[in-house]
Amino acid sequence: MTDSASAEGSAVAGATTAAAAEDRAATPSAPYGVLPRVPAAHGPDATGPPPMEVRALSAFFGKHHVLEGINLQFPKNTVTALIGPSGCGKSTFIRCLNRMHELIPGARVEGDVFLHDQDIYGNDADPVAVRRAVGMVFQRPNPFPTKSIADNVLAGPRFTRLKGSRDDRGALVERTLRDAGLWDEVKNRLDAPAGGLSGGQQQRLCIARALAVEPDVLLMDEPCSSLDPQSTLRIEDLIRELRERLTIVIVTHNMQQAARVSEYTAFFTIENEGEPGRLIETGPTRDIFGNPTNPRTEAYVTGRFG
Amino acid sequence: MLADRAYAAIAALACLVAVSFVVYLIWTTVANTGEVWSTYGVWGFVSGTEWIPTPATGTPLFGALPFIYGTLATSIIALIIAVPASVGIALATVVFLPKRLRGPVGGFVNLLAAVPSVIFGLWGVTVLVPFLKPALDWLSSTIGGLSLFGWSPFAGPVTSGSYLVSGLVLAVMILPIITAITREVLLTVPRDQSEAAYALGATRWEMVRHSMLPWARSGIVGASALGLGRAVGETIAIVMLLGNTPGIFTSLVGPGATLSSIIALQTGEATGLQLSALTALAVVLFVIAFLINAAARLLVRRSEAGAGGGVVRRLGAKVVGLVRAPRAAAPPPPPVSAVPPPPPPRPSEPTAPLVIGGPGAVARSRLVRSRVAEGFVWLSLLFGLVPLALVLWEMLKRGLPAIVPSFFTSLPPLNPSSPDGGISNALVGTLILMAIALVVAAPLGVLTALFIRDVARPGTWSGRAGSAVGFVVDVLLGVPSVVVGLIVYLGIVVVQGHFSALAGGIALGIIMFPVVVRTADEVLRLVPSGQKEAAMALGAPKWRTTLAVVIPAAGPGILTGILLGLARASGETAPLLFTSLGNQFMSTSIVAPIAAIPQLIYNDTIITQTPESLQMAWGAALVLVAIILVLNLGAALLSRKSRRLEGR
Repeated sequence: MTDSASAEGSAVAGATTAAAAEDRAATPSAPYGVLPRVPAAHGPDATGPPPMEVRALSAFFGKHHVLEGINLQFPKNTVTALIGPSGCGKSTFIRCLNRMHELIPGARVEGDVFLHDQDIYGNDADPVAVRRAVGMVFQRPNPFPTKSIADNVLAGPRFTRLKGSRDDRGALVERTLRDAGLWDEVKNRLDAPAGGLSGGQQQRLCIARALAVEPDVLLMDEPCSSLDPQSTLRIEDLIRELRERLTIVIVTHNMQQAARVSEYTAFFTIENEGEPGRLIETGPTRDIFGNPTNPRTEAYVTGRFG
Repeated sequence: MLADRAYAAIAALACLVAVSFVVYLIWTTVANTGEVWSTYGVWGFVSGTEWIPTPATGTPLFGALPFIYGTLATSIIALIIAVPASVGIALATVVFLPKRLRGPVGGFVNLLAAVPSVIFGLWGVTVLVPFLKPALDWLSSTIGGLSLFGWSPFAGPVTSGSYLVSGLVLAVMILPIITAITREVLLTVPRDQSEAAYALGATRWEMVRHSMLPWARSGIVGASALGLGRAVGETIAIVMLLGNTPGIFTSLVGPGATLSSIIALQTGEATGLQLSALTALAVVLFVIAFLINAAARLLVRRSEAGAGGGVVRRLGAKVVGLVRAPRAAAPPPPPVSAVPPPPPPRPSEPTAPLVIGGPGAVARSRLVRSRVAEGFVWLSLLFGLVPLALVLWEMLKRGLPAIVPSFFTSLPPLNPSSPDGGISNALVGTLILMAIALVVAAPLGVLTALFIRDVARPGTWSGRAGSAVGFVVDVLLGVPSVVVGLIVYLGIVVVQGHFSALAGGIALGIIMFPVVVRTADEVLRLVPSGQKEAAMALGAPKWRTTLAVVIPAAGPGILTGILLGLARASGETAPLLFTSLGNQFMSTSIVAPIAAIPQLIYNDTIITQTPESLQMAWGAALVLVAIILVLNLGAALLSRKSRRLEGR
């Protein structure tokens, strides 16, 4: 599927019509849209089919066109960093991947996002089920402040009517908190309200909360931007551990961070004022930072603009 | 310098006049209760179950308990109906309705607040009671035999005035305030909280249930308490709808009486021990309303300030017993050992294929639950909108035909069955009463606000005086209007020896005063200190700064407060019953009894009660609502203007 799309993509590069998305065989791909098959250095399934693929995606706020013609794949068990100057639509893009964008009044999406070959914008796709399969961590930690730490972790499973004994729930809480690297710090106060944790702890709790519903893909929208350096490093370690099991997409303003945690990097920007944001270049992170093909990418990663 | 002192002195004097007048009225009131306490003792009076002012034989008996029971029973019925409905409406206008409809629907519900109590009474008597009669009859005949510890809540006979009908109408009346505050609290829920729930795969209802309601909980409790404070003080609709027969644990489909209704009905003709007992009832009512309002304000303030969730909010919720005891959600911590225990085994990867669409993508039980909850939200929206629509419809249908030119120029007919006549005396009377209230409340109110915010300096005696005055104003804000009527009756009418327009105007002024002070205070607080300092730095003395900078900046906001106060006062009936009394004829003298529109509606509905007088009542209701709407509209426009000034 991916290889053929790549071949066709170069033939109709740049086509962005939404109608094209209806016929998958004829789906165009921008030249940068398809990632080369680089076996990742980790994980057993790194070469499996990509769990998520974006085709000809455009996003709008009312009449304002904020993103145009994005084609991108996220290979399994990898971390993809989205970089670019402020306002280029990275955050909007990531919010399109679990149908959060449409929650903002007036916001609209065109194009398709395939999750394991199912279109999350298909007619019978249910946003509630989509969001359960595609987790999200936000820029600012947003635990439910009045709920206890344990209840925060269990919030998602409770939506899906987790039936199980108290022991099962306890095991789930412990497992996800361990996965998020928070267990040792909170194991003696699981019943304390989450509002009492520090910012870094709150963000790891949010990650644990997202993991507890066992998503396939985890979206992270600048997860460290409101944290101190120490907490940032902890979260980065966590991201490296989590990719063993998940496919991660992370928006970041911090290029060192992108270089540290990701295998792939996608560069977004607005080329001229008033135009929508576009995907300029994508590829293995070491190439994007070491040997970018597009001069804009080079200008951005070397700090000459943005 | 001298002028500055003069300005401070004038503002301080205004405060002193206002406060000492209130203190004088309270003193005459409290002094008047002495006879009751010395006859029965406080506990004896409060727990007394009989109220027999004119017994066939023996001495009269006065006990407060049936009225306390009636007040609490009607208010609690109202609360049980109004709180879920209000929360539902607030949720509809914040979450569930399409964005275009949210503002208009919210505004429409707010219209309910502009409809005076007496009109709800009129609607209840003429529309709701006949409409509900068959339903209540059926209720009484099916479960009338039901008995709870000897109390049969639905035993017949069904009377036209009853606890259930009163509670229902009260619920509609307190709905707007609970909805408005709940709505404001819900709007403070940050977007990241709702997104957190959505991102975990919550349905809309699950988001509300897990993100919004926990966040807004203490605010909703506070809003409900404020509604309860309104309900216990409500008078004239209760007088019209409860049947005025004191009782304790009598049937809910039968009649009762409340503290406010008995005060309204008997004060005008009472003397001696009976008047003293009525005054004592007013004191009891005041204490109940004060306690409820104080608790409510505390909760609302806490929830709006501490929207970060913090400890304070949780304490607030704990006080009212809303935080469940923490459950053990996790196993006990593992025993301490040198070797960390192995992590619990991870369950094998789910083998079921990923489903993001089609039937079964979201469990059926969840969808059903969410649908039911949303259905409830729509139902409560209906419950809020239907009575309003019905009241407005009825008012237009029955009132419009009455509105002919002569309706405004002629007096009510002497023969109650005559279809001719108008409300000229009541219209003039209402305007005169409003003018007196304006003269009493506006200057004193604005000067008092200036004293609190502009003159008083924190840390000095004036600062302490300022906060004391602020407290008095807050207390006044929660005094039921019938209590205001009673204390003006005791302090002015009894002292002067006659009813008068002046006494009625003063009573309305006392109701208006705290509204003016609070609104003016809010806008004065918003005048940027930079502007004041700019004027001072140019060498302007304080009084000139106030006149040239503060008053112009705060002007529209202050006017808004005055208009809102007038709107509130103009619909009041209860405080007029024994102050301005009413007048069949045209009077423009401020020392003679005078007619007023709300009172005319009340008399036509309850006392005259002919088809013609009801027609006139509906016409008068339409005029009254028009006056109030114009005042409210003016206030809204002005406040928009002042907000625009702020933005600059």
